[in-house]
Amino acid sequence: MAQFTLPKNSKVQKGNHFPAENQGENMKNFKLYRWSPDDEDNPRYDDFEINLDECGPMVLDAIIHVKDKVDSTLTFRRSCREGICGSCAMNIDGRNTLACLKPINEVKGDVKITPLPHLPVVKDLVPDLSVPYAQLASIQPWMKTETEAPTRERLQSPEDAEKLNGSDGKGPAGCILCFCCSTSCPSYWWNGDKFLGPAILLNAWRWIIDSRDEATGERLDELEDPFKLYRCHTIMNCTNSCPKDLNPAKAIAEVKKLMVQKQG
Amino acid sequence: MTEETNKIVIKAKRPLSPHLQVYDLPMTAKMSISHRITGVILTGGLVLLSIWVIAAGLGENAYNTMMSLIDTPITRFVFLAWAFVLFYHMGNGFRHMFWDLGIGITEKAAVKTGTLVIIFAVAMTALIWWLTCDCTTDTANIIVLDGGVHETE
Repeated sequence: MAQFTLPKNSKVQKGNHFPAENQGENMKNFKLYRWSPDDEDNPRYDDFEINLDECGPMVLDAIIHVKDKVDSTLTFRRSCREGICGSCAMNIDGRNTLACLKPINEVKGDVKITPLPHLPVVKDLVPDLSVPYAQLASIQPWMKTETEAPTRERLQSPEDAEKLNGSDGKGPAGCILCFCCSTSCPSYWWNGDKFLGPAILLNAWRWIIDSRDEATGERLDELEDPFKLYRCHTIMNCTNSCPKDLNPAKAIAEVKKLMVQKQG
Repeated sequence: MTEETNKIVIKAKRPLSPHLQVYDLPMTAKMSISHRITGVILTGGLVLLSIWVIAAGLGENAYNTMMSLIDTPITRFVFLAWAFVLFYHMGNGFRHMFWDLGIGITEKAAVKTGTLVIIFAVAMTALIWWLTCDCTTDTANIIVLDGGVHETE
């Protein structure tokens, strides 16, 4: 049964306030979720006042600024700072997105940042993604073939390649596994241990429609389960939150359609 | 798979990151939860509707007693609200059907069709209100009693 409230140890309390060193005309308050495994305290929101003239335009710039200049214990994942690696996925101003792609000026008022929703927190903005990764492994995201390996690459027509890449580059192969979508999905919040979630189903779809893959039937059989696929109720938070503008909801609908065709 | 992942996930000390508490639900999500809630309300309303129909089936006296009980401004409002719920659920149901066919399942289309469903529900409720506001009891009496007569014959 779904629990809509946070457990006792997860309730977020008021934290510390860090005023900006240099006041200016462009001040912005950042409310950052903090939790450390080193003490017994509940999570808290720390307020960091930032002079925007002293940092870059993106939310990631602001939290790097905090780590460099204000509180070096602030913990978060980041790498490429350009929306390719998917590391800095977090909940910003109520929606999941990549901190590196989210302009600060898109947020009205305080910028509230929490880790990706409904996951165990490792520290501060770093959630434990073990379950989604294990689920990714469970769909065997690699090419499976029966036929003998050719002496060169397995070829694919431009049309077949487009099914993966999309004519606009927004096909399922564009997924960077940031898990913004899965952790925005209420179905995944309530049934994340059994429902695979949009990110994994999008990747399942990516292999199902790959013309070079020869395990389509096997892959569909694997998803035929009351929870793995069918906990999707087309809430569409996934498509709404995808920072790469992909459409997991559509991919899941296509998988469901194939299931019907397969039975028919 | 699940046994394996359970081992990883159970770490009692770790807090759960906020979900409903912080998430700014998009319009599509709000319509999705409303679809569920309206479904539950419809089920409840169906019981009341059945009682009403049964009363009609029991004869004129039972029906008149029933009508005197339920024909108040408040119950009229409840019926009207229920009609809205019905049309909302119906319109949204069609939306879901098209989605299952892979049609209109993009962010933009979902917002458009969602708005359409709300307009449809409001318009149909207004229509029902307009059809019933002046002569609620008369029209209802004629329809239900007439149906009853044919059945008994």
